[in-house]
Amino acid sequence: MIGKNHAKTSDRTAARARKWQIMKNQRYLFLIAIPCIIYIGIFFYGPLYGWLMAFVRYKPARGVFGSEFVGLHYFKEFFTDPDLGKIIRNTLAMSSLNLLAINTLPIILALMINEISHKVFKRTIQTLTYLPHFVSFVVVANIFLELLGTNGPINDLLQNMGIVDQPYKFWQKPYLFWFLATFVRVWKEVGWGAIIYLATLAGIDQEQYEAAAIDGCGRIKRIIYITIPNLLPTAMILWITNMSGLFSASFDASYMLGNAVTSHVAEVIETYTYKIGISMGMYSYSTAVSLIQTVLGFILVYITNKIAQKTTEYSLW
Amino acid sequence: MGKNENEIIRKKKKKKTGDIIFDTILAIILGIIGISMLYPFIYVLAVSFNHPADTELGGIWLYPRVFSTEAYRLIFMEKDLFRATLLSVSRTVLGTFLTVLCSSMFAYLFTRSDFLLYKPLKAFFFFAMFFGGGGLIPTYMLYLNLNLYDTFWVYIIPHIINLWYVVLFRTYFKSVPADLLEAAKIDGAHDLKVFFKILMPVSKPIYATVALYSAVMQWNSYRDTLYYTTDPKLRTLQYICMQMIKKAEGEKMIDRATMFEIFHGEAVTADPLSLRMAITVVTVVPIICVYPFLQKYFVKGIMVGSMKG
Repeated sequence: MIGKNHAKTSDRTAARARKWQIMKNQRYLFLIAIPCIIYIGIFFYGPLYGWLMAFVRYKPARGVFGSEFVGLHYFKEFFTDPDLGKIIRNTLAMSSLNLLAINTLPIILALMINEISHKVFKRTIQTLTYLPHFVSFVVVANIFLELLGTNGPINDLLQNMGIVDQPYKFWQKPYLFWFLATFVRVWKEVGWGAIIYLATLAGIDQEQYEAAAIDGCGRIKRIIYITIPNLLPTAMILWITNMSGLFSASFDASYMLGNAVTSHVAEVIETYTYKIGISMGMYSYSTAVSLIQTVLGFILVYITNKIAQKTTEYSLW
Repeated sequence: MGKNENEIIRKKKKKKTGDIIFDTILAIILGIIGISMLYPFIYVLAVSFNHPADTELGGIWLYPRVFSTEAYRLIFMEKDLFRATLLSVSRTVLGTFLTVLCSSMFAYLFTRSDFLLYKPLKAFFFFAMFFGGGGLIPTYMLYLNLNLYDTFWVYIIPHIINLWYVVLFRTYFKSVPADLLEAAKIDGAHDLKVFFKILMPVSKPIYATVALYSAVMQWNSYRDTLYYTTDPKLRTLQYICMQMIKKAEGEKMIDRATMFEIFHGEAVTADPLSLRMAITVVTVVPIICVYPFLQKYFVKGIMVGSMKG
């Protein structure tokens, strides 16, 4: 009995010694891991604590726990905000237009680029369409505000052709704003979005095409029956991931392209949280709005994923 | 056999008329797309090199009417813009260096499934990836509490570890043959040495890709200046560019007054449009310069990222 116990302890000590030996061998890994854990703890987990601000009447001097607890007060405030309908409408309108465009146009572009046989022309088109992705939205906005501006080349052209008498104020038309904003964003990102599809296209088994050609399929038929089905898995994954952006990611377009005349169609959740949070200092309210936006984003991705799972065999997880 | 080959070649040459029409239409559409991608940049160049006093008359659309570098001279004389450029350059260089180094070192841990903390670290990482970070105000408060608010470091420190880049690095590191690393370890190299001397040199493509992403992000960012700083000395080039657009937008009548204000009352006898376009060119040129060198890498990088699932 005593001997058995003794053996157990010595086993344990041996195991501990072995573990200690591994730790010693991996000391450099620990050297990397520990600062990284601290860093991620602060910068990724730290803001989670900040969400609590949405539930208290936050006073910077008192801290989150020193401030008065108000429960769902700020959420109620948001849902009774007279601007609510407008902001949600604008956010959904701008994001869904953008999603619609960014989920389809890159595929079409990739299909077209894929059909070019001339190498130099193909490369030129690729280089030109990828480039705007790397240019900041500030620059892109600046260019398009001028191109479509009252003294810009587009207006010159329209006037010279006699289509309009007076310069057409593109950026002062509320009913055009969503479409113009979408256009600018698509111009910037369409080529970049096509890269991934082009790479997928390059991976399609050429035998499928040869077999189809022998069977007498034309080019259009081959695109419809071979190329597009092959692109579907990639497209599904990207569509699901893109859904998370439905309630966000319109800040740049709204902030840079919007102006006093179009503000009532340009205001989105993100610009609103910026305005009330940082410009006006309503920290708790702004946090509550961000929280709603984040939660809605999660729910949306979850639902899309579920639908994708049910209707097709592809899903994110 | 020769006859057979000839026949094949003849068949290839004899394209169907349908194919020719198809190709022509395709070429025209893509040509238009290509021009629409290029033209805005040409327009910016043309206006920026036009004499600022002449730009006012309008009608520039392809080439400068009165060629002059006056707009560039004016912007380079401006002290604020010089400082902003310096700031943008330093955040890009320092930020990219630190991001690439730290993110890749962190990613190295995820290639070591023998590491004692491997499993908890992985869970910690994925939770951070899906739920980490926060809305604008929680982040703002965090930076305020860390005394990052209104300092240069707010441009650098929050980006040191980018979880998405970690995934990119990890995926690439995983594709490096394990024998290579094992051999070095048997030779007595410790983990850090393996990382710096073996893994890093063989992973150049992914380093190039992430460096490009990071540099472009740093150079193009204006929102952190907008959100987390108030000090005019911390304004970056993009932010100043943004500010000029915001101010110039709306009624064009106030343009001159705004420029007057930005240039500290110095008499500007120039149409502000040329100056704005000159600044735009200055912010775009560095990107266009690095773009061709890195183009061959980023396609690889984006593929690595897409294969993470």
